Amino acid sequence: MDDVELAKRLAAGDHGAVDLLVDAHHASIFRFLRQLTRHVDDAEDLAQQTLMRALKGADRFDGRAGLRPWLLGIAFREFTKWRRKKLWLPLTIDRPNPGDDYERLLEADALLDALSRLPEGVRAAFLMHYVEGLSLREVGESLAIPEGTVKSRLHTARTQLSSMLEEEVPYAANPCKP
Amino acid sequence: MPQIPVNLNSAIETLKEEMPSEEARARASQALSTRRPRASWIPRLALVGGAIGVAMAIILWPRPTLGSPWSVAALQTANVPASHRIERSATGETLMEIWQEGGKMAMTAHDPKTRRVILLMRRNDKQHLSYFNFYPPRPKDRNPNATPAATKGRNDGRSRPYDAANFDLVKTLLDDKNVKVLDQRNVTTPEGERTYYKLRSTLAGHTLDVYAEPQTGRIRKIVSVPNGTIATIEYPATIDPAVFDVNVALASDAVTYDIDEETAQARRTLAAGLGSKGGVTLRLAAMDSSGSLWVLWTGATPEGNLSKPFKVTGVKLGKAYGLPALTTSWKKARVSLPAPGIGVRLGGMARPVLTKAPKTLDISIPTPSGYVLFRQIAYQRINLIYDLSEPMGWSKPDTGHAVRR
Repeated sequence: MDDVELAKRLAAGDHGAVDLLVDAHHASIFRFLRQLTRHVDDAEDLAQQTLMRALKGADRFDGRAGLRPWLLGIAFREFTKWRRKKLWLPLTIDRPNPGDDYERLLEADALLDALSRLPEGVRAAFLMHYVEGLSLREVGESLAIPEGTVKSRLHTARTQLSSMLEEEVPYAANPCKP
Repeated sequence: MPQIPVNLNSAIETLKEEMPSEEARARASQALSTRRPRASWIPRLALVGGAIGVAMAIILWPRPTLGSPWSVAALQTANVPASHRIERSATGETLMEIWQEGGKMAMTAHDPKTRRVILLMRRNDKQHLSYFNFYPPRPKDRNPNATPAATKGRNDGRSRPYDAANFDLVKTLLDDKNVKVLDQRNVTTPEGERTYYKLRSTLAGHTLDVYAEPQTGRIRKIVSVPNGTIATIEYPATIDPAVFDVNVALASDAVTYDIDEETAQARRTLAAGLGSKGGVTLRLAAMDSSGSLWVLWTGATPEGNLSKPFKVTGVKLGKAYGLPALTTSWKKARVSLPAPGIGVRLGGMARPVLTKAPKTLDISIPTPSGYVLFRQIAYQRINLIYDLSEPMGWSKPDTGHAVRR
């Protein structure tokens, strides 16, 4: 079933279509939001809100970009609303737990730490393109920006991340592990 | 402690692998299903009728007979005054044990490979929950001062407690509002007559074989079909109060760090200091469970590149590392505040201690003009430096939330 057909069935109240929506897209939406918010609980709440908004607005999906970019765009808007409500950035971001892949997780966490210092739009473009695998055009559709702006944001992200992650060398991003 | 080189591509690959829990996915599905537009009023009436039917069954027939609906069995099991549940692997190892009586709870989870306790929770009242996490050392750790660490502390109820549903097959099943009954019949088992249900649980993510008492409806056994895990439940009349005792000695080969006590001691030490000399006040010396020594002081903030690290006489140290918040680069840190009780920012860093450390150390603190020596400093043992976030000024008391610079 293609995205337009799925959206039509969602708008029509097809119960099976809702299950398909969750099965196909919940993981991606959650991952994107978790990496933006740095907190599992908030990401879960926002992912639910995103899907509910999508369900409500399914009749407005026009298929120009795929369903995933559309959903990630909704997710990003939910994130920015959530972010504006927060007075302070919470320190209790979820940190990796000790385990077999602890070093890999710390490395990824260091990247998220560095990303969190970038503007939200740059961060979103980076996660959408490099982690979620959206094309430049899809990122642009998702964030409602021209493709050229997407390229510029990605270039900014990579430049600043390279610099920040190099500067992190004297410091451990998360020095504590068993 | 080795520094972590960050390879951007490798880090991105790790981020791609992140997935939500099955529980989260099921909650999302459930949330959407309660908001689905209904095509007609007929299904709505059927639902209302069904709900009334179940309610009447419960009111009029509190002791269901053979072949009770699954919903009644779930209700009877969820509302028992006391229960004892054990979850075992397909090969018989105990994975988890839970005792519950009213608001009290005692849960112990075991690593099936090593058999040791990896998580323990006790709730004696409705507000406090003590926990115990065990972190085994990784084979690569060679630091002679590293210890297998276990932590214990109290959850004040405002933070999210450890989710027992990660271990608890029974709770997962009872919490699932989307269970589908694939089969139901009366069976005879070695344990006696039972009502058997074959269920598909979205929260558990697979099929379960459930056996309940026909007379009371209470669940006695759940078998997870894909992996063979078996949960058994008994219903004692009373439970020995000692079962819920929070003072449990475990993991004799691990150092147990009491997070609450660590934090309180650090708060006292930071405020009082460990000595002052040459304009520098030594505030804290703490060895973490990985064998790194954290030294914090006020009066001479270290350079951001840690070009002049602290020294310890007679002990081999590794390369200094730390956090920008503790250096002249504090503006780069997301959070950096004066430490409460002191009123100024802390400076400092960590260094791995590569030879066995004595109980007291002679520590030399770097200053712009040289070093200041502090002799015979007794260091505190901690689990992680992040345990001390609040007394160090990285988070608000009791909330864990950062305060903006």
